[in-house]
Formats: sequence, structure tokens, C-alpha cells
Amino acid sequence: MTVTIGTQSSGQDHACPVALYVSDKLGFAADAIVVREGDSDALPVGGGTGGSKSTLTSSVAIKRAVDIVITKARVVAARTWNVHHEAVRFERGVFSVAGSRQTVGFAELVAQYPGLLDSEGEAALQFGSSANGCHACEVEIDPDMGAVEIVRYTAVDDFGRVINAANVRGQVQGGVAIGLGQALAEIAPTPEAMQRPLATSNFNHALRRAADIPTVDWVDNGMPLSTNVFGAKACGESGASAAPPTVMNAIADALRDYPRARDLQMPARPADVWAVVAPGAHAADRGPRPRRRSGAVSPARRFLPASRKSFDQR
Amino acid sequence: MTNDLSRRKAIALAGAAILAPALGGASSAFDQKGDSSSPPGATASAEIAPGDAFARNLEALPRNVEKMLTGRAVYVDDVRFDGEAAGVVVRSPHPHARIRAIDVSAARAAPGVLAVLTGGDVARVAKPLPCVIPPSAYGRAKPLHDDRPILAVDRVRHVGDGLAFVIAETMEQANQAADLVKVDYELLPAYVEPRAGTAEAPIWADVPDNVAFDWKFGDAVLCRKLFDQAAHTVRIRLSIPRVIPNPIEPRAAIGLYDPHADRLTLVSNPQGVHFVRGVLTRALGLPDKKLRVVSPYLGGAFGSKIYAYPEHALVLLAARTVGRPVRWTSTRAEAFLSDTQGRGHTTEAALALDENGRFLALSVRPTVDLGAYFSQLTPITATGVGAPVQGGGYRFQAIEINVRGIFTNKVPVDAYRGAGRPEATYVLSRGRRAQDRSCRAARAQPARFGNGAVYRRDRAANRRRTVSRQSAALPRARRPSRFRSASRGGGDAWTPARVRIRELP
Repeated sequence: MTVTIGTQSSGQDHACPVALYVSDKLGFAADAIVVREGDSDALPVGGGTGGSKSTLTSSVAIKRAVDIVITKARVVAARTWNVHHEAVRFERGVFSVAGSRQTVGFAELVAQYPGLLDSEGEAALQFGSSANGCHACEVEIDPDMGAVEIVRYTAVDDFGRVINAANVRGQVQGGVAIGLGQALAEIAPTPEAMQRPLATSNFNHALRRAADIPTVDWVDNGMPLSTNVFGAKACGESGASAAPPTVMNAIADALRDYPRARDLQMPARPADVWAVVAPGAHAADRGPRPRRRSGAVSPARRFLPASRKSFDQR
Repeated sequence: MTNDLSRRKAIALAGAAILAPALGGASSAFDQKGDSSSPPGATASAEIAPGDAFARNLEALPRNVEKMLTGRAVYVDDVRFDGEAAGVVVRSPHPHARIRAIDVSAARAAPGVLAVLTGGDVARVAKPLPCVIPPSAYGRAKPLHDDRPILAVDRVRHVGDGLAFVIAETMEQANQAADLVKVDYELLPAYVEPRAGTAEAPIWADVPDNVAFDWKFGDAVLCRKLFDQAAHTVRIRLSIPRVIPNPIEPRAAIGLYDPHADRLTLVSNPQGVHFVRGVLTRALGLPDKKLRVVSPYLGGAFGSKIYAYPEHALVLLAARTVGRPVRWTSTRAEAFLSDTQGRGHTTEAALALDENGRFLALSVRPTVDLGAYFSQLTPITATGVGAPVQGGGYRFQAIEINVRGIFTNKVPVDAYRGAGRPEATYVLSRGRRAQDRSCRAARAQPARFGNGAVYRRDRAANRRRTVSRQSAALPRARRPSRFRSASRGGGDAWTPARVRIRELP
């Protein structure tokens, strides 16, 4: 069986939820379903991918297409058995009539009437989703080098019902990676720099490498949404939205006694952070020491791994 | 269904074929391009590489994540057509300059060169790539004449702006010929920082101060009143700099022309084939059915591949000109110089707080570094996408947003993973911390974060679940008591009961 969808994966494997749904509804093995995308001739319209909404849109359209397929198939089965189509039941890929032993499988029906059941469904996104969450991270700053290390990063997200947990985890990790890049390293070269060949390559552009990105502790706190058959919300962009403020707030917290930290902007590269913590920059070096709050770690000690220990002990 | 079965068979054969070593010279049926109504069926032989199989069948591919992971997926640059030519874009080294003259005669005479297209040639047959957002969406009465031209005609507006397209037998020949294109520039002052003000040489004639739009949203009057009444105000200035989407697979395109059907086919890697087809047919003045867009696998996009780009139109026009398939593949440097970039906000934000430190109002005033052109969604990315999430999970009595979009001599910005929402979230969360600090300084109890999206229907059940799970994941300072008090007391916790969730008809 072939399912052609108008959304389009740019690497995420959108085919998985589509194949699962169709397989569940029509009683086909999921690996016997081929999901195609990316041809403007194959479908009259298509939304492509963007705004973390591929599953939201494609699932509604596919539900419509599958419903039409089932309705057609019931009519066809009813004609064969000479009964009213409302008497035909469809469960787990098998059509049957109440009070009779006659049954026919979906695959059999398709083989008998090739092409007859081909159907199309279309949907426009009427309701947005309300994906939300809370990210927290712990950073350690090397006062000599100004380097910021993400020691631990936790993301608690409500993506609705999660269909393919491994893929969603990948989206969280990738989204956070993009957010960390924005917060700590990446910036587009200026027009002046663009005129030099080396500026326009990843040798000089601080694209985050895998080793720079911590494994995100991901907590699925999903509450299903009822606007689509999966109960899914959206997940692709959450990490990119949440990571920059999470990291910058953590840095601001670590450097709260350094007056220059107020002006620290993204990207907080080592040189920028070092300028904040350089000798002479601490508030204590300039005036009365800030009042120490109970339970707070003193600024100097915040750089040490001790902070991690205290986090883990909680 | 028979059609589909035979297609499946073809794909299965092609799938088996990829295990065999790819042999050069396996002929791909160029004469079949654009002929989607009659798929060629199971004609794949065992020597065909997956890219050639795609070229032969030219149809939507089944998506298979395993192939991607094992390096067997087909990307645009793997697809080869018989007799294809290579195209190279000549790009501006200057951020802002008037073009006095372009001399392409030496390039045209260079070995292997089939044709050279200039801005003038292209402008005769195609319009610039249109921005699809209506001006009312970003607070303008009339559209600006600022769409991204396919090739610059009389002015280059950013480093990397396309000037000419050289088509030759091989990529090397095209590159060598591109070096022979002579351009006489008259340099103009470059606008690098997004600053409003009368410009000596405005980037666009109809925008003398380089301000593309000044978009207002929310209740500014109530906001001002609340700021006047506020016991505390917190002001922050935040920079969310421009970043490069940088997908690992760069953009690439192959143009095909079928003279019998007078039909164009674009093999490329956009995020949505229909959107790109729509924009290109508008620019080229063709009905939709005269253009087909097909995409094999994509190696990352992050928003930057949503759009129709000048190179898409160029390979199509070039294919029509030289009567052969024409390929263009971006280098990494070209990706920096021509892919849309993201963000580029500098934001002045202010929070009005009452005597208990609770939020009253939020004012957000971003200045957006738009770049030299509107890409297809640029104005909405900078305005309407982020605005709905600006308040996040908090309750404000009023929010006002005032986005000023300013043209600069840079590559256009457009949607990049998050598209407006990271900017809004950044301002809100940084503001939230500033409020916390301000409250501590004033010895007031800062308002606590309510636990996000809680629906009216089963708010209580969800709250219990959220609280118990979050307490495991978050440090002690955010333990349940505070969540609960915030949610129950109706303090600053905003429970989005206004978000109506309904079953679709």
C-alpha cells in the first residue's frame, strides 16, 4: 500500500506516524506501507514542512483519506454480499456482516478491485497546538578561560501524545543543540567578514559539534491534544526556543555578583564571559560585598564541580 | 492500484540495485522527464545507482529512515541526468553597489560555456521571487517593491547577491568562466546595523529611511496606563543575533525542460514542493501545471529550505535556454552568502510590576535586521509568528509589541527553527529573571511560574501529574508547594482556559 503525503521530511522520518496510523486502521503490516512525499505532481496541494506542524496537518488529512477508503470498501463488500452497506462491520482489517460468517480481509478486497479504493483527503490546519514545557540547565564557568560548560540539561515538555519516542528525543536534542549554538557560539559573519573566504565556512563559524552538546535529560510530560487522531502537539522547535534563555539565565545566575554580567549578550563566547569575570570585575572588588543569602553558594565556589554534587543530591 | 504496484516493484528493484556497485554511464531516460502520468515501470536493471534510479523514474520517493542512517538515501547531488550541464552563480563581493556595466563576452567565449544569463536577460522573462505575505499583515498599506530578484539588474544589495549565471559543460569550466565576468561597480554606503534614519543611498527607493515596517500589536494604551501605575518597572535590552541555519546538505537544484510538452521540472531539496512551485510559477509567469517540483531525500533544512530561491529559477531558465538539464549545487561558502538566515533581533523590553512584584504589563520593542530583501515569509516571521506566544504561561493585563523591520545590506532573514518564537521566549524568560532580581532587591516575593499549559477540562488531574513529575526533574527551589500555591491562588499562574480545544469536524 502506498500513502502519499503533502508534508515533507527534511530528515525527521514523518513516515512513521503515518504508516502506524494507516496500519492500525486498515489492518496492514506497517512495513508493507510505503510513504511517499516530495512530488508536486503526486498531489494537488501540500503544505510541506515548517512550524513543527507536519504531524498535525498530515494526520488530519490521512484520517479523512482512510475514512473514505473504509466507507468505499464497506460499500464494495456490501454489494458482493448483497446486503446494506451499514450492515457491514469493519474491524482490524476485516469486513464482516452481523449474523453471517462471511468475512473478507482488506487486502483481499484490494486485490479483487485494484485501484477502486484509492482515495484522497485534504485538511487545512484550523487549530494550532499548544506545546509547552520547562527547561532547566546547570552551567560551570571556567574563570580563567571564560568557557561555559553545560553540565546538565533537563527538558520537561508537553508535546501531547508521543508517537515515536526515539524520534521526539532526537528533535529535543537537536533543538537544544541549535539553541545552545545561538546562546554560546554562533553568529552570522558581518558583510565585511563575508568578503573574506574563510569567514564563510564551518572552519571559522562556530557550529556546535556533538561533543559540545550534553545529552538532554528529557521528561515527557505530555497531555494529548484532541485536534488530531494522534493527540500529538508539536516538538521540532521547542528546544531551539527554550535553550537560549535557559542557558543565558543559568549564566546570569552564576555570574550574578559580577556587575558586567548585566550586559552579557548572546553569543556568550569564552572571550565575552571572560570579560565579565576578569580580575577586578567582581562586585566585591569595587564596593561592599553583596549580602550573602542563606543556602546560596558563594560566587567563587559556584565555578567548582561542587555545584553539580549538590544538584545530584537533591 | 496496479500503477502503484508496478511503481512499488520498480522501487523494490531499484532498492536491490543499490547493493550492486554503481556503474557510470547507466543511461537515465532524460526523455521521460515531466512524464508523470505514465511511470516507466519495472525497467530498472541491477547496475543502476539509487540516484540514477531516481532520475529514471523521477517520482516521489518512499521515505525510509534506515536508508538515511546507512548512507543509502538519495540526495539531489546524487541524481544524474544524461547530458546535463553545470551552472555557477557569479556573486557580488560588495555589500552595496550600483552596477554600471556587466561584460560577459569573455565568459561566453570561454571553453565549454553554453550560455551566460545576466540580470537583464532574466528580467525580460521573469519577475523577482514574490513575498507571499500581504502587506496588511505587517502594517503596510501597499506592498513594497523589495522582492528578491533572480539576478541583480542594476544594483547589488548584499555580499553574495547573484549577478550572472554561467552554464558550461562541466562545473570546472563554469567556475573558470565565472571568473571572466567583468562588473563595473559604483560602491554605495553599506547599511550594516539596522538603524532608521534618512539614508544617503537607501536600499530601496520607496523606503528612504530603510524602515520596511513598523508593526504594532496589543494594547499600547492600557500598557502605558499600567506602566504609569506600576510600583516597579524592569527594563532590559536583549540581542538575539543573526545565525546561519547551516543544514549539512546544502541547497541544490536541477532544471529540466521538456520542449514537447513545454513543461519544466525542478529537482531540488525544498521543505515543501508545492510552496516552491507556487512561488516559482508566479515569478516565471507560468500556470502551475507547467512546472513540476520533485524532491528526493533532504539532509536537514531548519527553515532555510522552505523558500523558492533565485537558483531554482535560474536552473529552470537555463534548462529552457540550452535545452539540456542544468545542475547547480551550493558550496558551503555560497550557503553562507545566499541561504536565508535567522533571528537578527535587538529588543528593548520593559515589565511593569505591582507592589508584590507581580506582572502587570509587558512592552516588547524589537528592531529586526531584515537584510536586503523580503524573502517569502520574512515579514510574518518577524512579526505575527512570535506575538501569540509573547506572554507565555504568565498572566499580563496588557502586552504591547512594536516590531520595526529595517533593511540592511545583508542576506535576508526568514524562518529558522522556531521562527519568531525563540525571540519571544527569550525576551519573556530573560524578563522573568530580571523581575525575580528586581523583586529580591525590593525584598518582595517574586511571582512564581505557573505550570504551563493546564486545560480547564481536567486541570486538577493534570496539575497533580505535572507537579509530581516536575519535582523529580527540577531543583528544590521549584518544588511543588510553590507551583501549587501559584496555580490555586490565581496569582500569576496563567491557566490558558482561553485556549479552546475542539474536535475537528
